[in-house]
Amino acid sequence: MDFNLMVEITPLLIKAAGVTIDISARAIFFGFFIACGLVFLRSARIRPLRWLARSYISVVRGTPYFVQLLLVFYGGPSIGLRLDPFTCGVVVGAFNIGAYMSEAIRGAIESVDSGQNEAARSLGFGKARTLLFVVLPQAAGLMIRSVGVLAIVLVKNSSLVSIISVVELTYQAQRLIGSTYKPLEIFTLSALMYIVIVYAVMGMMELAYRRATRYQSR
Amino acid sequence: MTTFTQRFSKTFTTAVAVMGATAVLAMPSHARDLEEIRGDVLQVVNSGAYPPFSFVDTQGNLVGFDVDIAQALADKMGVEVNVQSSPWNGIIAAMVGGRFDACICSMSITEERQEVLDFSDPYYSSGLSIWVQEETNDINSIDDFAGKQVGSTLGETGNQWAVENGDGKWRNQTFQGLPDIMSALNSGRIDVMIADDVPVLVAMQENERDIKMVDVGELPRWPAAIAIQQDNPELLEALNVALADIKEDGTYQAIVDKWIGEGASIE
Repeated sequence: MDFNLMVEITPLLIKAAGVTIDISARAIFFGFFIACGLVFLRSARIRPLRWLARSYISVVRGTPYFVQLLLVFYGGPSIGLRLDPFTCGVVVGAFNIGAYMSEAIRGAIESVDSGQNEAARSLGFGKARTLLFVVLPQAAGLMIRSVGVLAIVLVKNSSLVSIISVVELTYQAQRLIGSTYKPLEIFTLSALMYIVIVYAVMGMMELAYRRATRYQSR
Repeated sequence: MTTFTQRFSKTFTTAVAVMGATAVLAMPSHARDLEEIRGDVLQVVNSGAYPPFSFVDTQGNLVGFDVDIAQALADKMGVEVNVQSSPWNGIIAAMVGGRFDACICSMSITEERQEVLDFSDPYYSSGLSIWVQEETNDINSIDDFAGKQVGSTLGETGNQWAVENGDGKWRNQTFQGLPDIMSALNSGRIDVMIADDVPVLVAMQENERDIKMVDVGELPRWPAAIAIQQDNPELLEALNVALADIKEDGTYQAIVDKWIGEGASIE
């Protein structure tokens, strides 16, 4: 192990890890709103809207993230959609995780006992208030863990955005190996950094889970 | 049951339609012409993982022969330049998709590439070379490759040669880049390495490796040139003029001396 080299390149890798965190955090943030929109569309009264949401989810879940990135990045300019690499990574990441997340959220909402809904309605709650104050608080605990898994998968999938020339952790590591010829040292460092990031995500999800379920009896 | 089938087929048809539409729309976009570039910056791409031509030093700067050539050409053309890196296996797609104006990345001119890209005059030439472990003595000609593991880089001319000539005679292994193949050869995971000669020679000067070049007779050489999108004659002309200028005034030779040095021919 060349420890001098490891010390020397650590700042560069930390900077690249920052890009990984940045791109993943933005994708997860926007992805959540896309997911909520899809959940809403799937329960819409108008049929074509339901179809639209369902087809969208099938397309995203039926194609690899890698292919989606290539399609938007290289195909985008021909339909006038010229996103810079970072934005493209965020947009594709958000639309990707949004499709998966919408299913996780929908599943959680549907697993809240229907009696809860009926009870709230019979107490005079409107539809929106029932959803907001009775169903969602109970669904939150159920959805956080599965959303957390999706977030972790997205963080690790973010290594794929290197193909559209975003210098994130994996691509920076590969570039440094290109000039130093020290794969063991550099990949060890980058693996450690991924572990730290993923642990941080897991910790945040655990906190969120505890907050969401603090009034629930177990 | 019927409802499920109906629903499924509806969803499926829509999904296929959406994908089909995307595929039709994903035609190559039009190149930026010279005038547009003059008002902005010349976007140049290389792989950033191919020392000494383009690589990232331990301070994180993108440097190398191709980077300096790009800067010198831009100076002659009187345009601003932005040199960035993109993984080698995505570069041609990026160029066709109009992501960059020029690829100054030691790309060899091949027929396949000429179908999708235009090339400037050559700015150097690269040739394939064969490398084996220091103690290997039984590989002296291409016939000796029989039954051996042969390594090359995905998307490079060496890989193309190995696949076209090796059919059934030897086993090809494909790697992501030169550092990977050199490690594989060093550790005995492959018996033979096929790669462009200059980068290996330069890597050998800087890193101790127990490998050696063997002369197996005539191997193909390709002229390397700047690749740009097709149908952009003004940009091509401007690049060719600038290239001739830097060769004329000694800038080119200075860049060669700086990065390639002696011991490797690039003509």
